[in-house]
Amino acid sequence: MSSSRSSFWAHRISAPVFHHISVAGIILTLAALVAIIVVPITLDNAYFMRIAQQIAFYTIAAIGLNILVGYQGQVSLGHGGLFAIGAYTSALLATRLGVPVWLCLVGGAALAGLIGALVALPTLRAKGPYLAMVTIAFSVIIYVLAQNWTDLTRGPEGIKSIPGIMVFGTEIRQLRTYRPFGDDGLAIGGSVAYFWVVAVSALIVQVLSIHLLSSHWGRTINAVRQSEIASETIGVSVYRWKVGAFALSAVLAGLAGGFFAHQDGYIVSDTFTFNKSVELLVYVILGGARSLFGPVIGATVLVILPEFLKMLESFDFMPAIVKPLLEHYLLLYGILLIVFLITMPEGMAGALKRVPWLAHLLPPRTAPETRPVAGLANSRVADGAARVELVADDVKMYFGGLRAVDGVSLTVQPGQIHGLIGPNGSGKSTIVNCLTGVYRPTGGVVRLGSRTMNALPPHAIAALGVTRTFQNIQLFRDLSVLENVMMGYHLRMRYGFFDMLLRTRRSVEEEERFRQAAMDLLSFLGLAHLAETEAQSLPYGLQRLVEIARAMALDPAVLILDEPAAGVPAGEIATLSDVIRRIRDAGVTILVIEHHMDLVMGISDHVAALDYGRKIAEGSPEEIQANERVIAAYLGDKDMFALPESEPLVEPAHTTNGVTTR
Amino acid sequence: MNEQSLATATRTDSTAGAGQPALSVRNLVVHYGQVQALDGISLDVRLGEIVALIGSNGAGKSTTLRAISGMVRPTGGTIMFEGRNVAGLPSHRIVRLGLVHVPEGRQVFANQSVRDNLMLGAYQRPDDRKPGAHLLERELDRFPVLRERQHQLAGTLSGGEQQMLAISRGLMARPKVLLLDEPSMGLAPLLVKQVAETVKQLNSEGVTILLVEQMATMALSVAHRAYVIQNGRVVVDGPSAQVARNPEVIRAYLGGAATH
Amino acid sequence: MDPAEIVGNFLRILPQAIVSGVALGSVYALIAQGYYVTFTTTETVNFAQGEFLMVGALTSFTLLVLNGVNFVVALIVVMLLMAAMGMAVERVAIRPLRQLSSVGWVLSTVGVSVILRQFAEIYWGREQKRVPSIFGDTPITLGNVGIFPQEIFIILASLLTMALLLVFLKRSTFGKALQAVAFNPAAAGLMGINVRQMIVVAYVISSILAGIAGMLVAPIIFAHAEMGALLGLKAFAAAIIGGIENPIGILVVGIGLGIAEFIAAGINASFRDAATFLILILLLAWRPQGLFRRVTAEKV
Repeated sequence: MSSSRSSFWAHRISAPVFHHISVAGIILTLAALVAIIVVPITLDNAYFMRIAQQIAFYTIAAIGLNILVGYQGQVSLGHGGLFAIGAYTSALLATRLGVPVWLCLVGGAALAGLIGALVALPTLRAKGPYLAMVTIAFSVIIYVLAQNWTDLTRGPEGIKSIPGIMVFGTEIRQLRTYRPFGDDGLAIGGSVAYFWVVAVSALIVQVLSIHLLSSHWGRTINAVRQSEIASETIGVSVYRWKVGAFALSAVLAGLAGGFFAHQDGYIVSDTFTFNKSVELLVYVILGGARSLFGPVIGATVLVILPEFLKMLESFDFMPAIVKPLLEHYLLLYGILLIVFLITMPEGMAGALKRVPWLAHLLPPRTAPETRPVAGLANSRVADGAARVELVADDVKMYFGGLRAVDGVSLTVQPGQIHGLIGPNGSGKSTIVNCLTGVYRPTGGVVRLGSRTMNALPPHAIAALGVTRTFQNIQLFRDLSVLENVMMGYHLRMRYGFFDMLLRTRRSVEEEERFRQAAMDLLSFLGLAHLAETEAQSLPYGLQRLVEIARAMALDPAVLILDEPAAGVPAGEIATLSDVIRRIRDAGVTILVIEHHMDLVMGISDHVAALDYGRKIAEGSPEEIQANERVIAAYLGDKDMFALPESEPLVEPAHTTNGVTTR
Repeated sequence: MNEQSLATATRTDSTAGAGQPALSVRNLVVHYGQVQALDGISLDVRLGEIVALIGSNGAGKSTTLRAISGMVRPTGGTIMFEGRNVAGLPSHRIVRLGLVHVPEGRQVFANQSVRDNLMLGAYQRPDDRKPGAHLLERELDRFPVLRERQHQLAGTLSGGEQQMLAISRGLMARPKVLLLDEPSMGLAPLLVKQVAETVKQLNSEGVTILLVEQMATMALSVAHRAYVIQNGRVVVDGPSAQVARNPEVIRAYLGGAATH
Repeated sequence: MDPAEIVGNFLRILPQAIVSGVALGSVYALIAQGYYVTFTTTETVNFAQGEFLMVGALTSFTLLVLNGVNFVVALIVVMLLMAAMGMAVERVAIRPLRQLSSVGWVLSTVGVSVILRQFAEIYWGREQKRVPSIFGDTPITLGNVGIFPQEIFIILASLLTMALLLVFLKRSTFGKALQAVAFNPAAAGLMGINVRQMIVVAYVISSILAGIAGMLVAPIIFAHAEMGALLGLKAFAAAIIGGIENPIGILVVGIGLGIAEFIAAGINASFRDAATFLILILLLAWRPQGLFRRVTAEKV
């Protein structure tokens, strides 16, 4: 596969912002724009316009909620409340303070974002279904406030005469019907104009969200969902990202609420019940969580659905079913929600993706081909300053009465491979967790050179240059091999949120640079041909190598490998050993915790052995293998257990592979 | 081992092994997701025997027991127990047949009393659970510390006491074959010796035992026969006397000559 | 309002708030025990628990008022209905989703709650139904504190039910087996306990508790399709704050919540619900693991 000639659709343009958008993307956007402009004129019906407006602003809310629920994986049942905040704020700013409507919309979105962040900040500290519960409570509180704080909201009576958007000095709803094609031609009324405003806003939100979600930002949000602990290890502050995602989704919900308020110019508190939150969720789930176009599909289908039922009712079609469904269309929502959750977790977008020609319209996941470079690029320089030791100084880790680590001192010399062995329960994993910030040691000091690391969280330790892999591989399963490795560059990506939002040339070029670096890294480890493969589909041994590659992307001073051979088939151990040695040769200090003796003895420069939370021996691999205490720790004390010395009197059964013969 | 105990051992040897194996595993294959943990394990346990399954960590010993007791579903192979293939059955049904697993790490119900733990061991035999039931009383007396602490929460017991409890709990199910999973783990050396004595005692009462152990010396000192597992396969097997003298065993644990 | 007036008001409403609050609070506690039972065994809860209560209440209306059925018979029928619904929810909304995702069950049980609410509206309509108390509807007054006989019954019946539940869980073999499943499902299986069945039982118990609560509370709060939503939510909050694996903590917090709610109502009736939830959010923000849960460093 080669360059720009390969596919017209994939060809990319060069621009300061919206850089590197494919031709397909531009055409799709333009087509949407044209549709937005043309369709209302041809439809020429205020009723349809209203529905179209609803589709547009609910799409905005759904895009936000999809980022939170679909991509980031948190459940919020409070976005109806955030929608309400947007609506009321915008309405009040316009009616009470006479603020220009454009600004009111921004104000509504901003306040919703702020309040969303305030709700998320304390709640996301805890693990468990708390967010769901707190957001439900939040929804209820907002509804109660709306109903009862009548001084502000006028409760069920509602706020009337909310001004519409000003267009060319005229309020949009007062826009006299504008006939561009002469008196007998088509007419453009206020409802069409408002649709254009909302729909173009929705289009902008959609495009920007696609930028975000296909950039590193989206990758990070996905990664956090799939493995919080791995994310921390590569330097992502999981808590901040979760709150950020929540706040962003809140802003969009608030914006949608603002558009809602100015649609008819009249809002009542009865609208903003908890059911609104459920509705928004159904839009997302039905459309397809974690899909770029799921929200717009979901919003379209579900806004049209009740109208469709009304139409059926007017034709007197199956009144026994249609009538109650219409009155209780939430029933339908509830059923659809459960059905889709169980049978179609990818939603309608997922179903559509399977239609072959449609799939080509999706923005391609990868940038143009990069040619793999054999050998390591010259970027891998072992920084002299990074050559410090990793030291555990009389570290103790107690869990209640259990002394998992009871005064262990270890020094991992720079540029060496240091092995750590010990039977089950000897404290190996515990000490690694102390070294990487998962546990805070009960006693003793953990340091990198002279820098004490005891109280630092994992992402801060990663920033210092110490990273690790896990016994149970913590790859970001749905991401490709390349994307997994690129996550490792997280700390070094210096382009910001707005760079990614607008897809500036700088952000795209940076991304390209990191992609190249990641490919180099993969080549160095012999994995370049797997760059596009989804991580979880790889055989286990290769997954292990990808995890190591990702850790290498941090350009760590110290790499801690926690049982790298676990689960790796015997035939691939040699490859693994080779890779680890080459990493050492490239200047990285390595600590290997292992049970697989052939591996650890084969690669280590120096080995320490633990038993019962203490270090019992230290030395070269040969010394350790011959050390009596180590042998006793694993196999038991020969003196303690009298082994059978002579042949038993009965002729032993001859058994090979379990088949007994006499 | 002095002459007398050897004689005892051999007397048991002569009665053990008569007839069909009580438990017969053939070509057992187990995967955890993508990872292959067992690559065709075959072993036999005959009535009245103690069979040891040893090997270094991660070799597949506990996985073998878990597959036998139904905690893990094997991908392939057969597990014949009393004439039927129990591979793939859920654990609550396998226990009912008399194949009892005392799991790795004890796994007592820490928030319930010692007595309740024992009663749960006899969950499917109501008669054995009733207060005053013969089996319950016998197990409470097997390790005096259990009767002493019978109303204490199991989580407050020491490691060694929990091991005793786990074994007694297993015995409450009237096992035909008892699967003991690393009973020495995390125990101080003297306690490990105690566990070894207990295993021998149980066997002399007639319990057939498949003993998984990382600590080879302990296991070989009590077992009649042993299998050594490495990387999910049996690499050595035979009477424990032979296995004990086989240098392969140490290599299986601590690796071959260090190539540097 | 000057401070003396506020304090005076507060003291005046306090006794009544306590009396009525204990009654309402014991209902919260009863519902919350249901969350405790399912959460400890499966790490899931039925977000439709409140709606289960509502179905119980409305069913009791149909049986007692429309069909003149005897109370005990009605109770049995409601319990059976709840058991069936509990099994259905576990099978349809919980079991398939536990394997697929870690939070899908939240959405599906919320879906169930929406469905149940709509069904109730369709079948029973939107109006509130009056369910007369079998003990009569005249309050007993002591000084300026009044208590309905039904409220006394609620307190006694809820406490009795919770006591029975606790005895069942701690003393009976079946209950101990359920606890074993909650503690360590794999080891429980090795005892011969059918873990899957036990999970279903947990959901059945939880649903029956909701149904009983519904029957108890129907004469006090009118039975209607919307009654379950807030009750279920407040009970869930009580469960979390009480420390979801601590039935005694749940009881204490539940009752405390009832009292706090009546005090808030006494100060300003319309903000009663908002005030209680605000308190809950603040409490959770301060101590997310609940008031009664011990936090120890967990060995990973």
